[in-house]
Amino acid sequence: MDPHQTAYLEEAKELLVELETSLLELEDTPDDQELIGRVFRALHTIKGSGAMFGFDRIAEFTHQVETAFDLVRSGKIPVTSEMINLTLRARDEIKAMLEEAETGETTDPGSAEEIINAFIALTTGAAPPAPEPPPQLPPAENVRPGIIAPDRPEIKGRLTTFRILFKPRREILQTGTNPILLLDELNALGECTIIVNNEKIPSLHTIDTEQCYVSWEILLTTDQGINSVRDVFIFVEDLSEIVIEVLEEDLDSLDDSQQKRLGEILIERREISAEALTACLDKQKRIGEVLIGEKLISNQAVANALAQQQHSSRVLKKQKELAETSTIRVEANRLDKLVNLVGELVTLQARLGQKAFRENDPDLISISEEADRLTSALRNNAMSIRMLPIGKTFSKFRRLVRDLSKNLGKEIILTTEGEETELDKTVIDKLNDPLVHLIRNCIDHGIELPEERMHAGKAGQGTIHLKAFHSGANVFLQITDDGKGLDCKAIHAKGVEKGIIQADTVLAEKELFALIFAPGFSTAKTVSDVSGRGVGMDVVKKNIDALRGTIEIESRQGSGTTVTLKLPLTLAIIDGLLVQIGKGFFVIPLSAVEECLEVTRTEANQALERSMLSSRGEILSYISLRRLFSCHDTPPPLEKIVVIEENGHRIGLGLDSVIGQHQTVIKGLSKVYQNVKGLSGATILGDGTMALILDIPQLAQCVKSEPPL
Amino acid sequence: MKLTIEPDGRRGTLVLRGAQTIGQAHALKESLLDAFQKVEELEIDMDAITEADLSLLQLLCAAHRTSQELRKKLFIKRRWPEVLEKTAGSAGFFQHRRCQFNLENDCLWRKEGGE
Repeated sequence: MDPHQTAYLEEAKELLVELETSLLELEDTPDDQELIGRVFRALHTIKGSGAMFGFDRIAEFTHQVETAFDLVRSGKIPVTSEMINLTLRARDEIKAMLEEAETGETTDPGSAEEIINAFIALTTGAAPPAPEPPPQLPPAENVRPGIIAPDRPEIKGRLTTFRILFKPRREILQTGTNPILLLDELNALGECTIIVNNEKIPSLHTIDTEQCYVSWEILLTTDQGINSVRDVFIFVEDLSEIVIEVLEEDLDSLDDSQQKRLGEILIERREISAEALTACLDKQKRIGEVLIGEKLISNQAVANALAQQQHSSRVLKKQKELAETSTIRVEANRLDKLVNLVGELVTLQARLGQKAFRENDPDLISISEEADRLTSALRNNAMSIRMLPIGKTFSKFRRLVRDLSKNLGKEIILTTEGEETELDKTVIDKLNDPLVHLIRNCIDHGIELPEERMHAGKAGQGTIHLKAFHSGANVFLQITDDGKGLDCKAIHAKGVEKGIIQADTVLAEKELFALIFAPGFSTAKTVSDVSGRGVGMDVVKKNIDALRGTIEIESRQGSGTTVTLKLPLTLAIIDGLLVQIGKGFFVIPLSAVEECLEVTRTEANQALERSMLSSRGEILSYISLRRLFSCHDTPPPLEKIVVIEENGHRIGLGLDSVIGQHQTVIKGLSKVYQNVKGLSGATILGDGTMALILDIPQLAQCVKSEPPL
Repeated sequence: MKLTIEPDGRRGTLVLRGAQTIGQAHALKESLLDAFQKVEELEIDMDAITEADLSLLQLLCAAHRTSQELRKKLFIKRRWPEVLEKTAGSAGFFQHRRCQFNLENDCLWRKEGGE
């Protein structure tokens, strides 16, 4: 695939996101002409660029959809729920076609045909009688309808200044067209100077109030490409003369020396000859005044040229400001490499620090400290590059909520908060599936049918609220619904039925809700295609555990449920507690550590026998890491206990010694160690030795499911 | 639309209210012509306008031209109302101050208005 085709696929995917968002907004405000325009333009660009780069099937299909939506835009058919549903289906079909072009996996051509047929049925069956055509008046003087534009490839992302002459026909206002809306659309594309030519407006005695007497010259500096400019005039091509020309290209590298003078602009605009200009310049007056005085040029021509000069000057100023904050696209794997290299550097720096400390060389210590400062700054900077706002992930769920709630006959809106909260890209990538599961559960189990809600004294429409916020080195994501909440009795009964708890077991609310994460646990009475098979919440828990996060549930019967995910900001580096067992080093994630204790060897042996130990009157589960990792060295007379907390459960980990806090650059374990329980990764210590990172959720699972260690 | 004429009969104020779009344009044109027949100096008060479109902008230009033909004075009262400011700004009218009818630098599209 050539780079242009790859670029098209990327752009088309972005346009599909825009299309989906616009359609969902349009569903709420079906009369919003701007949204209808956005939908149409997305379709039009996918079609146009698709045809240009050889994606004929995509272009052909999108053309059919665009034709149907054209009827919406022209007011011939209304925006209905059916139209939105069908266009969303078409959007999914285009997405499948794009994926097919990327992967080579064939999609079912029948479904595209089915969608097109549905569009045809919808547009032919529902169209009201066409309105009376406007009277065919002869074109106004000097207006030759159509768009004249240079035939050039679409290059998005390169800053270009276009000069657009927009001359509407006199009768354009009688068709219901508002030319000012088109000017607003152009204005939204970039830096825009709009100059009206109103010289043809007659006096009150002769003016026809339903005719358009003005034309415009527009200077537009944009990175959106010529097709975006043409698209603005799609629906007035037959009613206007539009001339688009390129004034300046590649403005990203513009500098002050390239700022044109008024005289140069006038020559360029073919308003005056170079000889006449030179003669006027000799008079040592302001050039515009001289030219008007000599009757070489009209006021309008000078005004327009001045406007162009001011426009260029404004663009130049903006470019200068943007130069410091401009953005570039970088492949994610390049960033990953950078973060890995920075990780290596951090490890190397730790070794240098230790060496300097051992040698006790002041020069070496000074160099090491300086390198340490630089490494820390570089690490923070590299990590920040990979941070992305969670907002885009949130917006993906709007469609899920809409479609699923409709399928189930429920009325649900999705609200969001904290979209700007940033998380490492690697975390965001792995969050999608768990969040989908949780939201589906809210829709299926949480929020009631409208009549059921109204019967309970609630609004018929339910709400799912997604909230993200930072706290320390973690990000919290909350999924809240205002549904019926969790049924504690049903959960307890199901726990007994599944053999997870005894019938007489009394659990705190938190522990009871934690049962939901057991494999195969579901209180749904029927199995639907949405949920009820008991597959889901255990997978969610596994996924969140894999991210070194935690998951908690709060619920009040009748009021709703809140699921809180606590996630690390990044997966690359953690703060850990470095501990030792025999000759081996291990890292315990600091976020899980509650306290450190010390017990005698005798007490440790007793704890080992009972798999539990007593601390300040409290009974804790006990795991001997010596035993777990088969360490047969002679144990020290005193055993250190690091108490960790996992899902409300406190566990004491028995080990030989606690070395101290250690910032850990995480390295993945090879596939050979994939099935080793209790380990989530490894790290290199300052002296080059390796330490294994403990997987706390898995260790906690050992306590629950395995015989005493 | 209501025309109020001062006691000396020389100056009058035409007050425009509500939507002033293509649907009301013909009536406005007639009101302006009528006002120019009755007074020497006409002030247009547009503070209470809620909606405006290109037809209003064109009529204001036409009124300015008519005032010059009839050698009468035309003013816009105080500041531009927000709705008109937006419409005229979008249509590029504020960029334009040099048309052939701007004989006494009294173009209506000077932001500070007519007085």
